[in-house]
Amino acid sequence: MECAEIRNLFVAGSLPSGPDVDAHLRGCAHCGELFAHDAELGRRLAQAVDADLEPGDLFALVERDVKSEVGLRARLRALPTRVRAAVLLGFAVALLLFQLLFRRRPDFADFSPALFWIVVLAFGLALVVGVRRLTRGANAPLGVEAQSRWLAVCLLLLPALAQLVVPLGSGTPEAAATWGNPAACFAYGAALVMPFLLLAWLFERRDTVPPTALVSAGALAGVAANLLLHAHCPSAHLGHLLLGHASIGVMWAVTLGVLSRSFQRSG
Amino acid sequence: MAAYVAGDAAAFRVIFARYAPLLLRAMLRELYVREEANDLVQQTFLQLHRARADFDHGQKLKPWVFTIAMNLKREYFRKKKRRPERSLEADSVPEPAVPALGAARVDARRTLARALDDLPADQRQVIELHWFDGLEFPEVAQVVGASVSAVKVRAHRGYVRLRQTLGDEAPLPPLPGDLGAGDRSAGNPERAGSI
Repeated sequence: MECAEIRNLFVAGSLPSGPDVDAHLRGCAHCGELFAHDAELGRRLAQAVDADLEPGDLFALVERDVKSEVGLRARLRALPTRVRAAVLLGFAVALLLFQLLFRRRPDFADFSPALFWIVVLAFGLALVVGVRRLTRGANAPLGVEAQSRWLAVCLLLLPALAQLVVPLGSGTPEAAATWGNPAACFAYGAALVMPFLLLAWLFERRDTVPPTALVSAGALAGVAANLLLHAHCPSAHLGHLLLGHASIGVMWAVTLGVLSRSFQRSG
Repeated sequence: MAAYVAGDAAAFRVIFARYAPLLLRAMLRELYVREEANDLVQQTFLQLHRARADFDHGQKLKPWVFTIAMNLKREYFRKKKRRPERSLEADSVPEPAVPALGAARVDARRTLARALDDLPADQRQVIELHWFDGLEFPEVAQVVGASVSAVKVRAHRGYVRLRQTLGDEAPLPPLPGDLGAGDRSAGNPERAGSI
């Protein structure tokens, strides 16, 4: 006998009894609570169970919704989660490859290979975890929401933490003293990851996206931008790295958060 | 669900007929307004349609549908910025599964509702999904994203706390045909009858 059968017997109006019930109760502490004091709790819970409700003409509305799911975005967001996640990750990988093949940082040969790939790995892992969470949608288990807030914070902090160690791998000491042009890096990184955000929007299944998911999406775009700038920019100046690279995720997260609030107020 | 994913539109009607009444009951238990409950159930089926390619055919559909529904309900309350007070006087509250409620039993229901509201959210959620939505503990575990043992621990703590709270209240009056008072604790061979 299972706990569910005990519950069903209570709800059906019976007081569960017999050898099977006794055997179950000997090994099930929480069902035992239902039977204490003349089965008071089991009876109270059973009597609070409501009867099923008839949905009336609701099916017509649902059917209308389903029939209106046509077009490019409807097809894209109906793709399996693993496909949507692979496309988003593939875009980030494509950005990295593009930089490494065509716009590689000038000091690539002098930069510590171990540190370079450790930073790439850290960004890559963050992207895998973040994209997985972002593409799960409304069928993700309930406990995920609390974890999402932590993930968003981690995704926002990771680029800044990574920039603290990047100067250690630089093989050219003058790079640490060169302020360079952080605004150019910021604009380059922020612009190149816009298609990532566009894809994330096209793949989004929820009509109302929770703010944490939007912040995570912005932070993820920032991680992707830092990944490509890591392969592109030779600066080892901490101010440049924090302002021109690490701040991109914060900017996108704030932008999406503000836009979301504006849409909620207007709609 | 496999038939629906394969393109059988009629299968969707079957899924709707099976789960819409359960979802409506689950939504109305906290929303009280039929239109809003209908709206969330409608959204649940739209999300189910969009996520149909993700459904693992080796799993049960019920916890999957309830996960979508509970996520939508949580998002609804987040936007409203509060969980509503229970109101058994509301017109739209459904009939109980166990009929013949007298005034004393309505009071008992109200007392239980208050006691449930006082539980920590994770304990209340497990008890509501198990008792009021009829999910088995492995299904509840799937919905809340925890292990079965963790869910059972939450249920146990919730039951203990409910009993402590309800212990101060008046005892539940018997229904016609109810057994008289007696020891019905575990292992008692005399435990039998109806409630």
